[in-house]
Amino acid sequence: MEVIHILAGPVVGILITSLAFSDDLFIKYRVHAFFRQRGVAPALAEAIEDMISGGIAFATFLGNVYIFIINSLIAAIVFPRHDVEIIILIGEISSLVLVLQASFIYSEYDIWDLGEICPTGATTYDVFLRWEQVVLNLTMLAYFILGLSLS
Amino acid sequence: MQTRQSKPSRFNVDIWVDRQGQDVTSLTLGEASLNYHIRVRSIRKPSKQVDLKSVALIVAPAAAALVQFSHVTPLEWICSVSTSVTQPGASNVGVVVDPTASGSSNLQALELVISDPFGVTTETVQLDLPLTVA
Repeated sequence: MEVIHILAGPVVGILITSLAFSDDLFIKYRVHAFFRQRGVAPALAEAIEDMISGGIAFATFLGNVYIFIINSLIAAIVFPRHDVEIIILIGEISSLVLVLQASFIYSEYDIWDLGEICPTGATTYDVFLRWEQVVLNLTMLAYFILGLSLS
Repeated sequence: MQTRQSKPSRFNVDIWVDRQGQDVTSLTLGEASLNYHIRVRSIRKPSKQVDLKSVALIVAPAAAALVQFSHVTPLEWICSVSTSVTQPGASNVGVVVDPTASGSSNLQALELVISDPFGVTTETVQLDLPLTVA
């Protein structure tokens, strides 16, 4: 039972991310259908869909940052007491990196542009943020499983 | 080559003058085989239509621009390019150098007009290409 309680944080994170992704797809589908039904010019419709996609991706990313920070706090409470300093350090550094990234995105780009800009040239920023959320959640789950195995 | 980034849309603009493929800033009197180049790079995936205005400035004490565009309006050239993250937009125009007066000259890119499905927006670039004519 205790294991279930301990893993609840990262599992809830994964669930919320999955639901947010499906909500994102659903909203984009509805918006796309709305524009097609109203006969909106395809280029304009696509541009607005990109804007919405960027906004949603940033919102779900921020949600995952909050979940990550909360899970880091939970880790400091439930993991072995003798490792508490390193656990707090890991949580603080990784949370700081995420908050800095969110601040950088907010200050450097217009969040509506995230669906069409590709800072690395490979993929748009909204897609990058989605994959980052997947990695964040899997990392947190692995972190908790490791913590459990040490306790 | 001179580079400047527009704000807030983040188009990178490069301007330079070349002589047979060589980037140059020192020009000779009456030289004609020169080209003024612009290149607009973007971090955006969708292709954007961008108009860039360049002007030939008169630098004192000269009474006229020593370097001008080979264009119907020698002191101003507006080019239109499409640019995306995978395909920078590029264009060029010939330039002519005054055959008699030497001194400093300046070609300047100063205005970026971006056309997208939402309409047209204008951003300032203010990019100088100082040249010397001897």
